[in-house]
Amino acid sequence: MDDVLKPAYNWFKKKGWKPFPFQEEAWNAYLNGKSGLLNAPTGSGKTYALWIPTILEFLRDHQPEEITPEVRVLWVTPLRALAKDIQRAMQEVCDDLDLRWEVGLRTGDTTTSQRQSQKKKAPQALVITPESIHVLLSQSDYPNFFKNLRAIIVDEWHEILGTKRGVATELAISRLKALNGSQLKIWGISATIGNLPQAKRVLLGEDYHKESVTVRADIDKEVLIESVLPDEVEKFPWTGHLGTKLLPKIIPIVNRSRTTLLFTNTRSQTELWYQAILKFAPELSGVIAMHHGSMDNDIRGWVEDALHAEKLKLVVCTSSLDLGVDFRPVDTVIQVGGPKGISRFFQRAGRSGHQPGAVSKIYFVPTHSLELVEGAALRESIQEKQFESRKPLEKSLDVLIQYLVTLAVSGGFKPLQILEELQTTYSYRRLTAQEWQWCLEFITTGGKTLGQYDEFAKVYNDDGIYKIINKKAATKHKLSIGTIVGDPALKVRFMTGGYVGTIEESFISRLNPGDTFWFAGKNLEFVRIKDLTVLVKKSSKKSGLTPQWMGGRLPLSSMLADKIREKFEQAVEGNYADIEMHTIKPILDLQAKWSDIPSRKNLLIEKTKTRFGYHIFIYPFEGMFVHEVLGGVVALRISRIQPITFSISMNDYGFELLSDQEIPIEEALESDLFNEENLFQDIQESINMTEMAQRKFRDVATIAGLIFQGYPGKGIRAKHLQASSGILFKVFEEYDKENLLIRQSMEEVLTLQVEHSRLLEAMRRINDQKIVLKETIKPTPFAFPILVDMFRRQNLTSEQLSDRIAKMQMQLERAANKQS
Amino acid sequence: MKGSPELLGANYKFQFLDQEFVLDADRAIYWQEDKSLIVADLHLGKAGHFRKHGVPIPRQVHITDLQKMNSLINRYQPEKILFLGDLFHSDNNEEWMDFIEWSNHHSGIQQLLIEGNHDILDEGSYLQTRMKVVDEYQNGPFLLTHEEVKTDLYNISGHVHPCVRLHGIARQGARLPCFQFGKQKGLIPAFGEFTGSHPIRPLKTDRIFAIAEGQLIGLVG
Repeated sequence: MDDVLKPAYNWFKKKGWKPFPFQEEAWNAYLNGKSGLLNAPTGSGKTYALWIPTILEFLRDHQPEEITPEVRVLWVTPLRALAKDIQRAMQEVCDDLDLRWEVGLRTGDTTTSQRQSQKKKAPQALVITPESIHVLLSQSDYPNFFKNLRAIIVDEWHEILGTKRGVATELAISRLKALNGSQLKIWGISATIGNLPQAKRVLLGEDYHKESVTVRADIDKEVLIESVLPDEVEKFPWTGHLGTKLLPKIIPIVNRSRTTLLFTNTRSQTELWYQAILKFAPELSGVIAMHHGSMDNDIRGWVEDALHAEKLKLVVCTSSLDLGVDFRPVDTVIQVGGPKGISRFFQRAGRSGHQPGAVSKIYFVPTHSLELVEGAALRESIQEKQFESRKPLEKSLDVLIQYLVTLAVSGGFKPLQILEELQTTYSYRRLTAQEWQWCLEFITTGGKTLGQYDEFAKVYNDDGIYKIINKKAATKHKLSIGTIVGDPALKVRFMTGGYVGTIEESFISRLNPGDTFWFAGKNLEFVRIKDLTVLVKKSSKKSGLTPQWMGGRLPLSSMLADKIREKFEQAVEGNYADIEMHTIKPILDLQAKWSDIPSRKNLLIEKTKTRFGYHIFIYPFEGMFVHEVLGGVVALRISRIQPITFSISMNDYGFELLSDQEIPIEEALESDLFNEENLFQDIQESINMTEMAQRKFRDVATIAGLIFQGYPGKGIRAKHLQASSGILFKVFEEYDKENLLIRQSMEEVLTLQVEHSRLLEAMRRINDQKIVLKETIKPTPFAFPILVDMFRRQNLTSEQLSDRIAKMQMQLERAANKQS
Repeated sequence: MKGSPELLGANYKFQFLDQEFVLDADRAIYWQEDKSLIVADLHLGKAGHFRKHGVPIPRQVHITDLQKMNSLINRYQPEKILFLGDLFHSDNNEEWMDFIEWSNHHSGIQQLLIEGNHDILDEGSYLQTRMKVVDEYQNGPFLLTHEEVKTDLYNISGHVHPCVRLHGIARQGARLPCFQFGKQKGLIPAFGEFTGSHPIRPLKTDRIFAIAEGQLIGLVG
């Protein structure tokens, strides 16, 4: 064995390094033919732990010059932005060892000519995204291309697990396993999460995980959390308002540090903070940059390079810099706004202080005073080493349908064979015969309601082999593999040429030509939309709108939520030992005076009236997603008492019901508003009555290929095929009740968004609590953020539409832009 | 007072420019003087077009549309039907056969298609039906077209699939398909079940009739 490892030791020696025990452990496990999971944080040398043994394996089994054009290693990375850095590092090892391996790149950015040359002469290793594996699976020669794989290594698995990309990864692995047999090893690399054994099982599959190993880096790092405290707390915390006010305290931190990463929770916040910092500290111009997922790749690449080269003092970023290679110069991390989860916060903290034994320090900047409680809760959770789990998805039929069509494009598949492979995946291990049959029917005949119409031409059953003959359908499918789900994104380009990034259609549709908006730190004037591209020019105006990108806002994890309730409990008991809790004492005092402080023992309900209408605020502290569903159920149950219409808003701490008439909350409480009986029927019903399922269906329909986002650059031609997911949803609901994609949307609300168990737990907890109903003269400090934030809203009604409309008004065209 | 809604029932007699319209909540107008039924934007065949491209929309969608047409015919016994364009969504597919059958079944009624941008079928296809294709239709004060045109007459068109947005207190709102009658022009809602809608921006002087739960709702600017 030692002989086999020798090249690795020599290489480390030449670099002046010494391998960590976990690296040696991973080398040996891999060379013994094991699959497994490596638990190691970014910047720990995890790449070498798994890249090196794939080389050693080759050197053990072959003469170094015996190189054939075949892909031996797939290195899967979640972000294409990361791929380049990893490829560079991997290629360097080969070059140093005089091994003539080529490490190729295969992502959405790979050019056609590069793809062609990879096809002609396959590189020995490919750094690839999950989507790009599926693109390769849609090519007819894929079985040949992949027949000599020795390893699939999935980097940052904790980021992919629990998403549909994770499911797509499982599916690709199941196919590649079948092509390669026992010579193939599967490895995942994951940061610390609460369910590492499950993470391993999901990635490796029902067959491979049984004989597998787990290697832990055990690099214990000390993390220090310091909250940036306001001198004076606002008693009515306006969301997002406080943060930039703390700049006088933040800039000195930046000045003291070599390089600082300032993380915000959304891309919009990143734009806002970048502007605010430049305004407050103009001397930073030139050494400050921003980085988020909608920006052009080249600009992002430039920022990353500048970070490496220590040319930047401060980078304002989103989770786009959460992953990937280590930026050594970074010694300080600032988190703006609650990170909503312990694991994420811990990983971000880890972006600083990489010298052995160094302490990772992270500053927490609240965006409203009340959020300071999260600082206290995070610190304690990290001390107690609590980490959230990433729950894997199960039975996502939309992903399965996309995969089956992919296989139909590349020469076809035999159902029984694929079913057998599916049964080795975690996600589809419990797929029923009916569900499988439905999927096959759906892609061939279009499902039961379509029945015998032969016009529906997608996949043909050609004597037991399911394939696509229609070239157009095949092309259309290939274009939609790995479509990014969400609001259609438009490219933003200067009139004079030059790509800026992408922006969501829903934002642009609200702009008129001449309006200005901030993007990638520039103020841009909207000129017009042409061929799905937003044309802009630079503006010298000082004001502008900030785009809202959808998504990106994560709900509070249940673990952190629990900690927050504990912190309030301590406050009720008079324990203000945490500096954060001490700071917000004035808010809590006012809250207690006007109403009450929600704690573990009490469920607080507030009732008040404003010019907007009648409000009920309920504070379960269970996170936004749980509140969304719970709010629906509570609204539904009240709406059975009398015809009434609600608008429901929520944040991580609680939810609000707003109505134009007085809400009979007392009566509802008497009839046991939080009863666990019929809870799931009521959830289903409220999901139907609100638009929750419909919103999920948008993603499901896009992935399953029902919504076609158009041919690149040929937006117009797809126009006859445009139908909003809303219309599709209604059509299926009315004419195709058995449609499993509708059911999946419903289930995703329940499973993806709120685990059944978590909702039931929340209900049980509430039932153990004493309900405290307070009527307040106006919204309390706790109610205020929900009232002004209105992040997510939905409606639920038991009134006749015509009765509701009788109380409404039409919005008239403003005189200013009268139509001709 | 502005824009307060008035519930008008499933159909409503609307005297307009000395003519009598019956607005129907099934998204149609019966024009008394002309003895005609006016409908716009059926987009038949859209489901078939989607199926052809691998999106399984059931055929029943358009059957419902034709059944709705039948009940309108029973209700008003029109002498002619004016289709304000976008009758058929795309090139020929099997749903055209359904329409041929429907059209011939109603051979006693004159059928006029005012051609719209979606109507790309060839002449032969129309010859199998009772449909006569025209560019526009004029009678009395009205000029009927698919898309809005500049004219001295009062122009009634379809094409935009109009809907109106309503707002109430407590963040309530609704978006409803509607008829719009302005000073020189009017819009009628899309008839087809499998179509979207586009919010209009009503002027103070417009008369708007929105449709909700089978009821017409009068809105004044």
